[in-house]
Amino acid sequence: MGNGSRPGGGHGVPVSRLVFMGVAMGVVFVIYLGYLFSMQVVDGYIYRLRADQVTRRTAVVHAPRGDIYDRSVDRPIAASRDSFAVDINPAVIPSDEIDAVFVRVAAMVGVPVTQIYDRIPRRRYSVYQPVEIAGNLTLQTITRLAEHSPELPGVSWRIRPVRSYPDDGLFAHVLGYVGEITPAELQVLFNRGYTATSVIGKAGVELQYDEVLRGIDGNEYRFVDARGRRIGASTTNVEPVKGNDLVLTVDRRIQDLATKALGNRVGAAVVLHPATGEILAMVSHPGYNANRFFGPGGAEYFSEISLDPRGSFLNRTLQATESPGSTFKVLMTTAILEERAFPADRTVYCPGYYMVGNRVFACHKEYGHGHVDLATALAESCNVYYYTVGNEYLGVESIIDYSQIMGLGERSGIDLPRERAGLVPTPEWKERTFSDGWRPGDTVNLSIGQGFLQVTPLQLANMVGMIVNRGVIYRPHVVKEIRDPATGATIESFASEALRTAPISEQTFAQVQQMLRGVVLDGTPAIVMTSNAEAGGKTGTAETWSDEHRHSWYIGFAPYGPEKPADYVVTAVWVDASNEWDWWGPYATNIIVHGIYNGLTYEETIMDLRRLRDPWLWYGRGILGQP
Amino acid sequence: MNERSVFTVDVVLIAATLMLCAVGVLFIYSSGVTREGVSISTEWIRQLVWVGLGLIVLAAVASVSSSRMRGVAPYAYAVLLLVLIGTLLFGRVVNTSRSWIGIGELGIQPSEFMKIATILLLARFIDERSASMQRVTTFLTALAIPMVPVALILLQPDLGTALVYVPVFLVMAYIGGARATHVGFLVASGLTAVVLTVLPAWEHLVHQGTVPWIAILTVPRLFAIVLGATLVVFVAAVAGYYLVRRSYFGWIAYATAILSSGLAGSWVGRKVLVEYQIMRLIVFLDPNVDPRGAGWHIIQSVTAVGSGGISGKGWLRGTQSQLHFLPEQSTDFIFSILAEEWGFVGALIVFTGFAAVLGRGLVIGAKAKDRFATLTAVGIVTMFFVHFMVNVGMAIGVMPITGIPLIFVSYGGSAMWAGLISVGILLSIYRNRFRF
Repeated sequence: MGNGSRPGGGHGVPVSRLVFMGVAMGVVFVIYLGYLFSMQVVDGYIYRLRADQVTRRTAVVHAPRGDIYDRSVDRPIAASRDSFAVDINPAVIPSDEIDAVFVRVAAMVGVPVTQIYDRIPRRRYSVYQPVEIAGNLTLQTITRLAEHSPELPGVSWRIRPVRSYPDDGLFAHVLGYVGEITPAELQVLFNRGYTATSVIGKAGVELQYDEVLRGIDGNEYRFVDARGRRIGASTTNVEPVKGNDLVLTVDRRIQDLATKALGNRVGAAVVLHPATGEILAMVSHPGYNANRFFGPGGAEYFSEISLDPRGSFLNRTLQATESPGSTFKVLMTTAILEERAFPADRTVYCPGYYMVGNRVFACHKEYGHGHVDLATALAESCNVYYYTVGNEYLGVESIIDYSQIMGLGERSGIDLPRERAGLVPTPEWKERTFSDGWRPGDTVNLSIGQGFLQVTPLQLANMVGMIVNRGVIYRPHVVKEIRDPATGATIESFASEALRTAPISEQTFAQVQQMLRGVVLDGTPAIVMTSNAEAGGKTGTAETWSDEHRHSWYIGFAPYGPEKPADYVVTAVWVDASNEWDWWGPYATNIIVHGIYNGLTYEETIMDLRRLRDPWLWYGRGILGQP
Repeated sequence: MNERSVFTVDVVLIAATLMLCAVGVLFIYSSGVTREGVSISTEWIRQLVWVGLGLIVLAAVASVSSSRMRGVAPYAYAVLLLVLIGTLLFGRVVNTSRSWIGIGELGIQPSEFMKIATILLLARFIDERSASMQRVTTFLTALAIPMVPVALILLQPDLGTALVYVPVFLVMAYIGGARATHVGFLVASGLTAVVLTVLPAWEHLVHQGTVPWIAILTVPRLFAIVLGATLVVFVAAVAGYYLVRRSYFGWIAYATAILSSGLAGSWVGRKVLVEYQIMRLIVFLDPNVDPRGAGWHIIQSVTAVGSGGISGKGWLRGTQSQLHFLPEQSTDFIFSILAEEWGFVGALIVFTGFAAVLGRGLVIGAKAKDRFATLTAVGIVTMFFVHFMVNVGMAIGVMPITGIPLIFVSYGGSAMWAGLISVGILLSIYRNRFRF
């Protein structure tokens, strides 16, 4: 068009320029058509896919977790309850209102607004997906939200099953608790069907059996319009499948007895059915009430529990280790008898102390027990006897052997998470750890369960279990059965499984058991006595940093000499040294055992014991009212 | 010959126009229907009324001779200019711009009708000054005719409508015999200005890095130095051209003039343009910069169009449009609904309709009895074409979003009437093509 000014046509308009214009428009038409062809015909499937994504939303319908029952299976001790959760879909909120909406919702729901900002970071503002900002809300809260819904674009709510524990904190450490999955957990578990909104067990049975309990989340497909409103009925929903129910071995009545027997003392109690390995009660104090973790104020409560220096989340029955103290003498007695290291009827003279080189090891009785044989030594808990026999006759290697045979220093394999192994010190271990050789003094200390030895209450319960079982420890477990939630049919039943078998003669065990019975009748803790069962057991007082603070142990079994071994119950109670010293272990055991064998509640047990025993003993300890 | 008859009409033009209007009503109806098939909008009925009344106006305009139009042009221009000023003062604000004037529910957008008046006046001006159109002064005087309404419309502010005037002027001036270099200068400096206006925003929104030389545009000191330097080169080149008469001095002067006016224009542009307008240009480059804001329209529209496929999802069955993912669906994004529900076939129908209207318009212009009529026809064709190119281009994602309607198809009385009046003018020119 260089000479565009050349006139054409009949009236001075250059025709070439008109033609140029027509061609230019034609070119645009062709380009547009080509572009449309490539978009709609060639690449149409890409856009169709995207169109479906925009309009068809998938919402996860959380499956209710399976219920958990105690062994009576009369009512759940952990159940799924409907509650409300509030979601915010940030992409629906006009960007200049987003902060105002967050503040309004936070005020109505009762969560700090920072929590909303945490859950919906800025980069998610344009993501068209509802994010849960609060759960466990009441109907009133939702009603209030609904009344203000015009001011709250992008805010929606739905029913979300939430965990509830009808007995509050009674089974806290057995059941554990659930919580929203953390990014770290998700990273590990994402290919096992967990999503960012999954609720996952955090401790106890809830954690250990999470995959059994959690069920299968469903999906709800729905069409939504640009404002996120639902359009039409849901299509092809996938119904959630409720998780399986669990039946625990724990007995609610015994759990309650043990909990109240321990009271508000820091410590632990475990009641074991040794013939099967079933845990009948498992108490650790202080505990927590998982019902309070969610909903308004939940975060504060959770951090209060988390920050408690006494370690409320710790299941002391298997996650805390301490010196067993004199309860270790049970193991020593077994070893002495089985190894025939020192005749049972031969006596050792106890002057109140024992010397190794220039080190003095005291007996708890300042002026000594005099001449004591094995049974008396166990009953009176004479340290000097065990110092002497342990150091001079039995030897450290045997003590270690028997510790290992009876399961100390190793995890019991209970079906609860984070169990600790404790420690059985060996000369190699000492050399490795302290670059110091094993000395006779170490053997002396070990002989009465002091020094480096560390055990869990559960390990001591197993040890007593081995004695009453005549040489077998069954794997301790808290879950008895997995059941189908719809039919109640048993899916899987956990049979008792022999964990370890001791190469120790039955006769030895019988003798030890008899001596333990003697301890109760004649020995130090002459207070564990009930009307329907005869008990055997051993106290322990583990030394700590000061004389006013000692761990109080009591391990025992009941009844003595039952008709069949399946009737035995083993208890291990440990009261931590942080409590005011009152040697509570035996008393707590007495309440538990008396309650179990008389079919009484805690309160009834106390009344009964008050009738049986010297009342002043009880009043003096302040656990009963005025006489 | 039949063609000499007074009542000769261009059947193809009328048929194509009616078809486009009918398609428009169909999809305005579709845009107002929910997924359940419930019509929640009466826009399609209103549109039917506008089309019906508009056809009467069309017939009336077609009966007026083009020489009468030539006489009326300055008055129409002056009256509409006053109405535009009135709109600025008393107009109703719809979608952030004050472009409506009227009483109660009844209102018009004067800027739509102003296009026709401007085309008529421009055609008359160029026709009368055809001998001197090659001169810069005449060219610039002609430029003033569209620039006055453009300025008023920019104040509303309605950038899209205002921008339509620019290509209309350029094409009319070009066809009317203006120098290609003059037209080229306006195009080049305009594009330079737009690119330079957007560059700083592009730098931090799309590129998300630092491009050192863009500082020239944002740091006033640097900007002044660079602009000064180009101006100095320009002056030197002009001086050189007049002293030694070498053509390359002329081209250097031309290039530096484009550059310096582009630079100056971009400075003004960044001061004048509202943030959302720059944002629209940015999201055209990369819609994902702001997928829920300015980019939302592009993404939704392109998704709707692309998911249509060959034959579409069926009338009233578009998921994007029926679920109201598309904004302004009955006006700016009517083509998206159509392309989604009728697919490529539907797009072909609309393209054929517009190709017929534009082709007939050009033929009418070529056959017109005088230069005024030819230029008027060319202006109208250009106006139709710009609306088509920008609106469809925006729906398929190749044009920035400016919010101008697809004439005949989009919902809206003013645009519809302006389109039908324009067709009436074309028919009048066609009818009078042998009269002298």
